[in-house]
Amino acid sequence: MTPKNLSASEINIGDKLPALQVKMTAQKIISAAAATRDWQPIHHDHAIAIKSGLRGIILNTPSQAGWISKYITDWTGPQAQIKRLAFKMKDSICPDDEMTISGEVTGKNDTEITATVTLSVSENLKTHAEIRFIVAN
Amino acid sequence: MSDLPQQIQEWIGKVVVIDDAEVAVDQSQIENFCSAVEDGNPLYWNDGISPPGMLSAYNRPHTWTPSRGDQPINRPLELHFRVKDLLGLPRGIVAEQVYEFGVPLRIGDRVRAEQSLREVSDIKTNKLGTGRNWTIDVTYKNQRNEIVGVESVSFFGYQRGTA
Repeated sequence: MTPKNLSASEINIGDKLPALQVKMTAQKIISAAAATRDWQPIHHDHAIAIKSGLRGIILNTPSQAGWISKYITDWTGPQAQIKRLAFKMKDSICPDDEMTISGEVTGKNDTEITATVTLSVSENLKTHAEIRFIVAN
Repeated sequence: MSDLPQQIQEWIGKVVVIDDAEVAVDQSQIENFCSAVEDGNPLYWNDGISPPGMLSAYNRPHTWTPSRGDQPINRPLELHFRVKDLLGLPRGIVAEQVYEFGVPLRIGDRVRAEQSLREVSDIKTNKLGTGRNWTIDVTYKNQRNEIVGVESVSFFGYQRGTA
């Protein structure tokens, strides 16, 4: 089956993307850190993470980019091209966190779309991102 | 007149560290990442394109190689650590991170990362301590010298308490 791709005419400022719930696990954090070749111990070693003052191992930045990118292209269809992604990480995401990814379209210029995406746990904002992507006309 | 160390002043606006990835872009690494973040995009699974979140992945060094043991030629974001050391600021946090994406990375590509220092602030004090903000830009290029992305990381380096 060919996946559907949203066109610019189907996207409007103010559109809310369906929220995505993800139960974070040590496996998800470690496997993504390994795939991004990120061997900082706070991403795989619980004891070192605790000693560093964290609640546990934490989801690394490229993995957060991966979750956000997946969230966008699951909605737009695979052909959307991510052009820019800006993050502010306010707090960490750890195993057992029930992560909610939410998004809203905030800008549109021809085929270029801007959206805000947030990663939250129990309604506490963990990461705020602004993403810009291009879709078909 | 700037109170920054001379070496730091000379680095601003210039490429200081060039790093050639030890690994090429490959399908198994892409699938490992997509599996971890549950991304079923067929461009990544079937068409040999690397997801944007993996931009910085290929330039992180192996933990060990036969030729250099466990001492990497460059640490990830090597320039950040050099700036931090020269400024004598033992602690650092990421304040903001921005990725801009160019042509997609594809299987077989070899990535070069060029690290430059964009700016360094005056000394400031906040609730963490006293230190400075600085921004490192990493420009990633493929073997055809095309820009595949730019990663900009803004840090606050500090020491606890006031200077």
